[in-house]
Amino acid sequence: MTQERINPLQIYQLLPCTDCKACGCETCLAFAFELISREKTLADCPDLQKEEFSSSMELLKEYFGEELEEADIAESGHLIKQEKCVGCGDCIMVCSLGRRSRVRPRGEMPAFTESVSVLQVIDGIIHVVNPYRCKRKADPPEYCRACAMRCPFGALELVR
Amino acid sequence: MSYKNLVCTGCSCLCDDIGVEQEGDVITRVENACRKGAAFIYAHNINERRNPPCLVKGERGDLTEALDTATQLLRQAKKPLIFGLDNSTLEAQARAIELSRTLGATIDDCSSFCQGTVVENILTGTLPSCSFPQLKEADLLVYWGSNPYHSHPRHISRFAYYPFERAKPAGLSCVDVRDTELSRRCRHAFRLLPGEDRDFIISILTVIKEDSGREDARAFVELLKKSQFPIIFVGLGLTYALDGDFSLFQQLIETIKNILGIGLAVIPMACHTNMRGLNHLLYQQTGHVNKISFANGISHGPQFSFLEQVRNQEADCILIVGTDPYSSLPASLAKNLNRGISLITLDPYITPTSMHSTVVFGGAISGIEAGGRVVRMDGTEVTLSPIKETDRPSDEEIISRLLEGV
Amino acid sequence: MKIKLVIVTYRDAYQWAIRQTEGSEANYQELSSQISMAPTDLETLAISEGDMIRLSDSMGAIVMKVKADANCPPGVGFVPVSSYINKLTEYDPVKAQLPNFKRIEVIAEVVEA
Ligand code: SF4
Ligand code: SF4
Ligand code: SF4
Ligand code: SF4
Repeated sequence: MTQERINPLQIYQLLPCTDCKACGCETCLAFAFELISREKTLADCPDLQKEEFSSSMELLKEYFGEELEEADIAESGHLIKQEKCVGCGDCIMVCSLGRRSRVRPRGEMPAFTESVSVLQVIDGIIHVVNPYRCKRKADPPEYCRACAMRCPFGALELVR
Repeated sequence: MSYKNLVCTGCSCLCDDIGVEQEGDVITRVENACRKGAAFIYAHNINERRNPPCLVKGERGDLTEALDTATQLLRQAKKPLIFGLDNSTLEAQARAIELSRTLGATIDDCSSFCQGTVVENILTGTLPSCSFPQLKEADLLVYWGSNPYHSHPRHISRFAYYPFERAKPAGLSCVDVRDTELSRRCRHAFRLLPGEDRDFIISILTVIKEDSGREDARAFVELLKKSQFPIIFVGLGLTYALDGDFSLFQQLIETIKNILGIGLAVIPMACHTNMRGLNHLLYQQTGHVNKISFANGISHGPQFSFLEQVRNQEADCILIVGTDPYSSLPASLAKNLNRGISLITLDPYITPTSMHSTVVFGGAISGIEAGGRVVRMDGTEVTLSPIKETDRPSDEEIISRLLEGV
Repeated sequence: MKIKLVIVTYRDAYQWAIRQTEGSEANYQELSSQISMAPTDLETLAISEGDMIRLSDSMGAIVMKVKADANCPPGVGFVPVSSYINKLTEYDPVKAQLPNFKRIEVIAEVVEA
């Protein structure tokens, strides 16, 4: 799966599409969503393990292959693909909180204040430093995907 | 110890908001720098750097010994050449120019096969330019022949596109032969075939003048017409496609200005930290940005470019400062460096070039171990404040002592 | 089977960063010896992604690993700039003022395993 942003419909098309419910989801589409949010794994769908779906499986594994630990997903739902991130900082600047924390070219703005931004680049790779400031964690939660949508490298995903 | 607001010297963006944490001698955390910058800063930890800094004919030696040998080599040389300096501070560059005056040497840097022509055109006023803060007024940013996400990762987020509260978001566009991270996010991305840039420019000119021409050139002109203050970032792709000859490009800028009435500005996507610094210094002193010989007064010409000097095996002793021609030149040319030319290298790291050199000075790294001033790609001066104590001499110090010696 | 290719070098941030990292020489070489080519060119050469091809010009010859890139125009190959590809680049002031880093004309042929 070479495209950078993940799309539930594309995932769905690779599934058996029989809605057999063996995975515990009502439909295969629901399963696709749960795959993306990493609540289910590929092993949860019995039909997918069969020979006839091996090519689908290959593509899916490429995307969901690496086993995730709970800790890999930040409180705010950010999943960072470290090997893809180049630390360009675009995701910080499209986030209204990140923008508030950022330095302008010299002399025009105060320095970066860590406590404001959700995201920060550390050691050349993006990190979630203040997960609870993310709008998705506000009360009531706000819908926002700006950072993940704008990452030019597909290094940032919002999984829940 | 932790430090804030350092300048990264990983590329000529010179981001000045870097945080670094250091434990003892080792850097343990780098904040805000991109992947390239962080790798560059972490390179200070390399073990090799704990060894004595100088090499004389392959043997570890001390500074005095290395200076003596180097001075001798330079004194004996009939046609010395100084090359590089793109990662050194303005102070070191000034000393190096003095040194080449004293020696009657030729001096050149990577800009002669990089963005030197663009900088020269900007300095002479043939190409209009602006500084990063002025980009606030820009409403169209065109990256031509460069993919900032790989070459200057924070260019877009920190300098060009995101930092300004513009009334209307600026348009982002690119002209490139590759399909890149940037072209995928631009609504108007112009894909060319390799070497087609000249054709494309001519076509834009005919569209403006005669209203006929290629479809994509038409779209480009439409895009320009909607803009008040467009910026073109000139990447290496354009420089190489035009083969370093910007007269056609100047014509384009002028036509856009005269016929469309749009004042455009150009910023070179220089790769090396302080390439523009050396260009500025040489321009002030000689009227040209590179390819200078001080052998008989001041002369300038293509025959003094590093490439030509190496190809014709003109120089008999080369002082290489902070660059690695063995890796960056075509191998067929680099071979010539082996043929009886004595090389003196100033480089903080061991590179293929330093392995072939008679004398190697392992100097301090600008920005982390040595302070000074450098010039950003937009022509603004930035001051470096070093964080690490080091007993390694800075480039400036080494060159000054060479100057005393000769 | 042989075809003509025009190689354009480009800068790659991952590769650049790895070069500066101690002890990743092998990774650097791996990243530096990949060429992206159009799928149609792969078909012509009857090879698939991951195979090796030999690139040669008057300067010399090198071997590279093939990557398919649907966005790559036929007849063109993209390679990250490094000392490896520099074995093929040349500087000839008669042809051009600058070295041909962005336009290296080579012959590509399949390497038998
Ligand atoms: S187990 Fe597989 S086939 Fe059955 S509903 Fe779930 S995803 Fe669909
Ligand atoms: S996650 Fe994406 S946008 Fe954010 S710094 Fe990394 S590469 Fe850039
Ligand atoms: S989801 Fe929205 S609020 Fe949260 S970090 Fe991303 S851009 Fe910022
Ligand atoms: S963009 Fe350039 S100057 Fe800025 S952090 Fe990255 S390498 Fe350093």
